[in-house]
Amino acid sequence: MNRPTSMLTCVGVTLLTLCCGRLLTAADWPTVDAIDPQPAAAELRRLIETAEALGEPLAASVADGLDDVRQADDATDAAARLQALLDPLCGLAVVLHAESGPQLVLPQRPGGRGAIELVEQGWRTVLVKVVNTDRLRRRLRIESPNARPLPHAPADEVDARWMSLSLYAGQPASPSLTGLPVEYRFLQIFSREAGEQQAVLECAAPGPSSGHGDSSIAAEWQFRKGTAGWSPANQIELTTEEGSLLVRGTGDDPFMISPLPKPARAGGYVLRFWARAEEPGVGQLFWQTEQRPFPDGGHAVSFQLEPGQEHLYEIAFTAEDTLTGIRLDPNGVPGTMRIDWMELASAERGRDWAAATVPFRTRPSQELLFRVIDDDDRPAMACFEVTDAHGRVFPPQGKRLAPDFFFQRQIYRGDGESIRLPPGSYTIRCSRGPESLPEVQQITVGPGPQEQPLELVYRVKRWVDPSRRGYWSGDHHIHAAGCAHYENPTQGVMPPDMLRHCMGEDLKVGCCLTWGPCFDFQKRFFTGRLDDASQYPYLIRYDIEVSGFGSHASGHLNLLRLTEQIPPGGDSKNHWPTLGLNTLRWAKRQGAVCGPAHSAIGLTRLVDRLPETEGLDGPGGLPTYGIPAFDGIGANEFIMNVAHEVPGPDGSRVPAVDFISTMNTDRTAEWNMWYQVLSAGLRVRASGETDFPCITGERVGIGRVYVKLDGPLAFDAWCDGLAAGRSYVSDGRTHLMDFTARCERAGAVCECGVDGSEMPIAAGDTVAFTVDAAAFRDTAEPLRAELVVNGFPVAQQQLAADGSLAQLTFEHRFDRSGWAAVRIFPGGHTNPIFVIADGQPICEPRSVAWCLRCVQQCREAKMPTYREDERATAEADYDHAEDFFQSLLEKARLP
Amino acid sequence: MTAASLFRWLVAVGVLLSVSGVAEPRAGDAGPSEEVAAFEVQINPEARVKLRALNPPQQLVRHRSERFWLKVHNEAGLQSPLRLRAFDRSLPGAQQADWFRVGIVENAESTALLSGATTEWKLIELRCDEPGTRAVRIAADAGTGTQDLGFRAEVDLLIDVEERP
Repeated sequence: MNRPTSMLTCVGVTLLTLCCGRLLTAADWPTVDAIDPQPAAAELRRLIETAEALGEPLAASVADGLDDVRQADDATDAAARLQALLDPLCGLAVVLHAESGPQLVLPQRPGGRGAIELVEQGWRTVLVKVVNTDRLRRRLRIESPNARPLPHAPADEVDARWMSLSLYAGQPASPSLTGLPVEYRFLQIFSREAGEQQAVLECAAPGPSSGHGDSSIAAEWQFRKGTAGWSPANQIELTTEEGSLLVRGTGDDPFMISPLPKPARAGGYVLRFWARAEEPGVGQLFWQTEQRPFPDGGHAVSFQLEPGQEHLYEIAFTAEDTLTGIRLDPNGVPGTMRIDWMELASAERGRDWAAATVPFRTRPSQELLFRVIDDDDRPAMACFEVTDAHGRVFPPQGKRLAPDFFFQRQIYRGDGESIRLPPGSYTIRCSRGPESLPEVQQITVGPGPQEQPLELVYRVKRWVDPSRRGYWSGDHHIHAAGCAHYENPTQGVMPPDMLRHCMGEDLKVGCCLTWGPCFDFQKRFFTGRLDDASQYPYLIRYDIEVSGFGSHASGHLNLLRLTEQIPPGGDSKNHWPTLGLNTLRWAKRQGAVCGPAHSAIGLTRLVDRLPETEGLDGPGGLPTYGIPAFDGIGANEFIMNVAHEVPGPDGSRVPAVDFISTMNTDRTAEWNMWYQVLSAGLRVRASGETDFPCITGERVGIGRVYVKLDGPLAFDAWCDGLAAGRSYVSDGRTHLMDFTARCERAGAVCECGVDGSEMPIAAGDTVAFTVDAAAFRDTAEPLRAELVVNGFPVAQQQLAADGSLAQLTFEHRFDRSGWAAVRIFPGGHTNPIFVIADGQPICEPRSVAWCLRCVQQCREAKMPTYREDERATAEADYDHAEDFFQSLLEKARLP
Repeated sequence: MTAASLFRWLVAVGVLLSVSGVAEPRAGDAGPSEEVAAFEVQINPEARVKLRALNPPQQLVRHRSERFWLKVHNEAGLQSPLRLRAFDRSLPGAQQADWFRVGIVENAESTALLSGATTEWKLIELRCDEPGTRAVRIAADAGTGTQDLGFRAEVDLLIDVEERP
């Protein structure tokens, strides 16, 4: 389609011709004469990183030029080298001046100005050169009348509003101009349809020192410290919470008013605000001027509400004389609205704006259909990373919404689902979790229309499938909100989005934990049972991580299988206990399965050492008798909690802690804490977690636990197996199944996780251990599998890392009781078998002493984090823990 | 806030200019605190550390250490040391800038250890040993694995470094 310049474009150009200081047509391409080599190279580096983050990498030749720029002879040489590398890639240039308006410049291509290439229904980035010889550090804005929203658009502008655009200012780009004489920015452009188009691009770098007095923002309202000037006027209540204005209309004519900070001249304005209205209806905007100080029906405009969703409202109006204030009627019926921010912007462009008409050419896209078949011939969900010949990622990361996560390169699609791709050659990396063998396919999307969509067939091949042996993978710590997730346009993502990611990674159980960010939004997904989105054998359930509230400062807690989400006394997160053990008392009473999160945080900085233990640490400091600082949010209060039993559902006493989280933090520190409490005689099991997308946003299931069940997968049984330790923890590429101990002399056999994992023998007996192991790595180097007894490796075997299954056997003579497990550092670990010699408990004196010293260190570090009314309980709880370990120590030292 | 009102506020809380030339911030979360902070660290409840430039320096004098305020929001209640490092953005990989020093001042009034309080202030020192315009990346962390995802624990500075007069 060859679209003529639209009416809107013509109007825009005409207005700008009349109003703007600089209109650009065929100006010379701007260049800069000198930049120091070091910042020039740094600018290039940042550009390369930004392009990578956007999934639109620059050509390898650009990255190769980094050394050239850095090693330039002088500033002149550096400027020349930098611009020679990047200018040919630019679709646009902006020249800024401190004392006059900017200029927009289009590059001259051979044969005239070339159109900027876009893709249908997709986003493309355009490199923009910014020449800033006055070294302004303002925010650059590039906008277009062709990118205005379609809702509320005049009918004759609908065709012209064919694009969306945004100037990328996120990390690692800087939000404002850096002050370098030349820098480069990425402009992201979306095209609605294929064909030839034109658009007016407008740019400015308005700043307080521009001196024109015509800044385009007449007023801004942020709600971090109150209502920012808005007053309730009729049938309305205004409050603020977490930086948002909460509006509650109590009657049929609610409205609120705000004067402008200073009167604004007559002209066109746009009121923009980001809001979520809960009820349908119609809102109204009134404006007050010096001549008409009271709102009236002739100075009002209505707008349709978009109930139940975040929405950018843009309401245009014209003030006939000096504008003094506005009135907002959020609805014509009682209801609520949350407003995150508001701004009143001039709809006209002053001298500090420039504009140019830019030609575009949008290539049509084609549908690519995914056919995904698992190795049991069933349709499945899988993971796809789609890149074109330039290394660009599809769909574009910078413009993704759930179920595609913008912070990942990959997407997840099921059999029969599709994406659209513009013509070109693509490399598609296919996988289905760490148990699958990744494969790479090449496809070419042709230029013409297709009768049938292009198909990509991915038949999953696995190197291992633990579920066939009854081992069900799970990640007990993933989040649908907070950290890398966005809070707008929705507060986090929804259960089907999380399930899709679990299915695509072949993660059977996903424990979706609601925590601080978006708590009041996400809490609605808690039901006390599996989420309805679950599709057997892929289960997700919403529970809680105590993080960002309550007892978080003494160490975060994962609370699984809750029946009540929130303790009595409130319906949100502000009334929770600050003592972790009090949280555990409440949770364990419900039968929850509990353990600390991201365990190593707070355990990596050692501040002391147990006396007389120099030289006694294990290899690589595992175990270590160094005393951690307990200065973080991992398994910190854990060391006190493990000494306690608390009432369970039936009132009988149960351990306060079921498991320690592993596989996502410093492996030595997290395993050391586990080893020491096991060697002190406690029976805490390990589980595996990711803390997605906080510790990492790469994917769910990076840290996993594989729990063995006798029957079909069921969440309650899976939690019971986790707590019983009938499981191993893994990175997904290391498997240690059916860990079993046998003692021929005693005629005893013990399977890990069955009957308490306890194996009675006589002192001096030799125990044989077997484990079915498999691992897959990119290297041919064999892996070392070690039998660990009371924290120290006592035997080892080699395991080929080619995915083949091997039964490993170990033997160890037990002269005293001890726990035994098999590990492949750092990729996997079985849970322990407790070998009880002559009926004596496991009790390693150094470990008990270490635990005792750690309780003291933790008490010192964490007592200030407890609320005053919980301090007495906390003191008593720490006293109990000290007494507990002291008592063990005395028993251990008895002859 | 205008310069005049900021001055009135500073006088009102009895702020003095220290020997380092740095205005002392008021304790707690109230007041126009961001106006005197060069940088801000935010530690979210999951211990992810973000660093933000509020009023970063644009000029330094070569070989001369200058002090600035860093405001810390510590929602996780961490008590570990806060660390700042400077990287040369022009070099490949993560190479520290041996010509730029950044660190938290360690003396009787200031320590790199976080107190665990929700809001606290740290005095930091910057020094550049090379003249001219220099681009440096400052990164913050509060222990192993606490840097936030996606570059958010880093800020890039462009600083004009003048020769000592």
